[in-house]
Amino acid sequence: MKPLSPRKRRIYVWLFVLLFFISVPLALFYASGYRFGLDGVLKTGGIFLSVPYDGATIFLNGEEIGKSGLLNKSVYVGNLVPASYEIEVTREGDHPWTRLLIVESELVTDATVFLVPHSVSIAELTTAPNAPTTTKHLSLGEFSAYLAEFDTLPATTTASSIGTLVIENGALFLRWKQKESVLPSIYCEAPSSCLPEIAISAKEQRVTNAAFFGGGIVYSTSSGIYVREADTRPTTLVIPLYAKAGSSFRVIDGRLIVKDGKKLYEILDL
Amino acid sequence: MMNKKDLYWYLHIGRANELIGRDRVIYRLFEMLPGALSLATLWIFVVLSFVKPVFAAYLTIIFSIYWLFKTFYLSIHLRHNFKRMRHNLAIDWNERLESLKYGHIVHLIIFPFYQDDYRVLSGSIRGLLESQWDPKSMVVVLAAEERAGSSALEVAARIEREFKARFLACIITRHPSDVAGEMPGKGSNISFAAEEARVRVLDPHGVPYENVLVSAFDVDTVVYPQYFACLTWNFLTAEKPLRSSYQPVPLYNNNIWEAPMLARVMAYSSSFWQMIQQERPEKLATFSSHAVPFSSLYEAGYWQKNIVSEDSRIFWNLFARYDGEYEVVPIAYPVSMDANMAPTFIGSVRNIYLQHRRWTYGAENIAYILFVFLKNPRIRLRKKFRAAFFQIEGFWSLTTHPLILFAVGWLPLFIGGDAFNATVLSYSLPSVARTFLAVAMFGLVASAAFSMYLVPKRPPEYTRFRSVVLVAQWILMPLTMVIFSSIPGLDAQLRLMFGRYLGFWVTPKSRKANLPVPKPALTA
Repeated sequence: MKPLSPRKRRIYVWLFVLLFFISVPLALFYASGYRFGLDGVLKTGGIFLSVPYDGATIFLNGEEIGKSGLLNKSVYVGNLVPASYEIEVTREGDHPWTRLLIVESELVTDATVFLVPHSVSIAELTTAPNAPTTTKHLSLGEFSAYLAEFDTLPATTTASSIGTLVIENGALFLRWKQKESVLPSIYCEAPSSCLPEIAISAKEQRVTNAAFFGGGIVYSTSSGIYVREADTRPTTLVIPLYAKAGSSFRVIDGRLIVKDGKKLYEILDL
Repeated sequence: MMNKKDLYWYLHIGRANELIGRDRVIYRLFEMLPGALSLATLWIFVVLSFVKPVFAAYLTIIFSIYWLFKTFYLSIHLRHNFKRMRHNLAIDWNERLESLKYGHIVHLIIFPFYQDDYRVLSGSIRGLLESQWDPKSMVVVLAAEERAGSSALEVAARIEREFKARFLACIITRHPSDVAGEMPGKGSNISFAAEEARVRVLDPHGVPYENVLVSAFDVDTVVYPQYFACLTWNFLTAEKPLRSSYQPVPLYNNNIWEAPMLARVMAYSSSFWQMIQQERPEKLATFSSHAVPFSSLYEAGYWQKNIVSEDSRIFWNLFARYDGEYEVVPIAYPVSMDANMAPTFIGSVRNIYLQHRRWTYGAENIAYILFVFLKNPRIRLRKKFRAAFFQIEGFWSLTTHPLILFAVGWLPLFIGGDAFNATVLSYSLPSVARTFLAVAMFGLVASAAFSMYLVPKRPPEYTRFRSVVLVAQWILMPLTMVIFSSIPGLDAQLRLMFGRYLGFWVTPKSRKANLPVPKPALTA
């Protein structure tokens, strides 16, 4: 039996060279979001959704596209023609989360789901021994220290990786101050349309304090304490956490503590 | 110092520092070439991933496609060689030889050994006796190393005592240690042994050199039954018998059932690569156990004594010595050796790494080839260009491609920056590249199927599960390609580049049992 003949080998080489040169442009265009159909070439984009929760159901334009799980905390939807897409994420016991995302060609629009329970648990902090289960026990020293935190004025700016919270004349803004870098998608109504500032509070509200907490922004106004997502795209979730005038909050030791009169509470489940 | 009056004064250059003046600078630059090319390629990928991640991502996809078609292309060669090897194992080569005059052929078989066990060496000698070839036309040389001490000589003496009468001759050679200009290793040992055999056996017996075929084996090389008949037939029917070396397929079956999974994957990968090369003779140089006509070997001054990769270098020595009119005849017939293993898993990993670093140190041939091509105007330009290109491309792709496909190519995803991460391309890169690589894995699945035919019959002490693992082991391939091809390849090339030259590392032979000659599953 003879070795593979040079002629056969040449045929294979040219065949694979031909296939290579056909495949390369097709693969590169495909990877860049181009799709080929009977209607010709379509430029597409995609949506990437981070879902940092288990058991949430994800809908795209009303159609279920997946569920989140322990090992499945994100969804990528490709092949989307440039347009607006409504994403809804639901989970039993939580407020539904909806977002209108604009998809542009060759780009991926991303968003992070923010779920807040329908009823946020609030526990009173007390120094009394044998207190009921709806309360949390603190030592007298801890309680006094927590109270003392409320004696100092809150900061008017707070920075994090997604921007800086700024209270100006009673209005709350989230601002992106790193001029050299690309704006995170929460600042962008569409991937190519971004502004480095998001108005967090409503015009009529006067914000007294604000902080990043539990994946959202917690702020207090004269009418109570609220949590809101950091995202400029509609429809942003704004949930009252403690709707009582005169209340204030501080984030102490990673806990969201509310002061109402002389009493302290902790907001749980956020 | 080289005697430049000699037409082939450059024939046995080992390193740049053996030369002077301009030649030394040129050779040094050639030594740096493989490492520089590989580093530059990887460096371009890293820089592109930072600066132009889109281009880097495109390149990764292009590489994946190239890899896919290359795998298909090589698989065709592997499949053909597998068929050819099975065909050759089924043929009665002795019957074929009947129409030829072959009684004058003498096989000189050299077994270089260091501190190897008696049972390893005796297994190889028994392999010769069990082969279907008259041992009275075989000269066996037990090539011991003086530095290995008296125990090695005792092993050789015992072998000589037990088997000498069966062969035309069986001699022990003792390669002296610390010879100026020599590197301790296989090359210097077998060169010494070949010359000793000439003086002590061939000349006294009056054997014409052109009738002698030298099989330069490893200590663990066990021949399959008709190796010598097949080799002789190929020698007698070759277009240029004295201007050709003869390359069998190295299988690593001696201890394959007891070798750990990593060792098995690497062993079959090496065999498959040689099988593929057998179908691409223009890219084939001699490797490991090989055969060469004594007359050519003698004229070329035997194997080089001052380098690591003497097995492949001898081909280039002969190629240069005969002005490009020398080739390798792939005989598509197997010999069996030990898979590289140690008593512990970590030991095996270390041994495999070191062995592959030694093999990939064959990049030292590039400097030699380029230099020789500069100095030898009698080799045709086309031959020079092809040989240089194939060698450079071979070592470059061996080192860089697995690293690009399975490591560096994915960098844009991590360092491409926010703008790149917002593109469809960044999300598509993993899936598109992975798809091409996964399809290429079909080539590996085919390899797994082939490997099952090459494996000797399962010994009763191993369960069926081990057979299943023998197929499943191929999943390790991407990992082994990076750890045992790319990284040792780069290690070897960087050593050459920075002048931190490697010495010869003797692969320790480790077997759990006293093994019989492996039965070729292909003919079962």
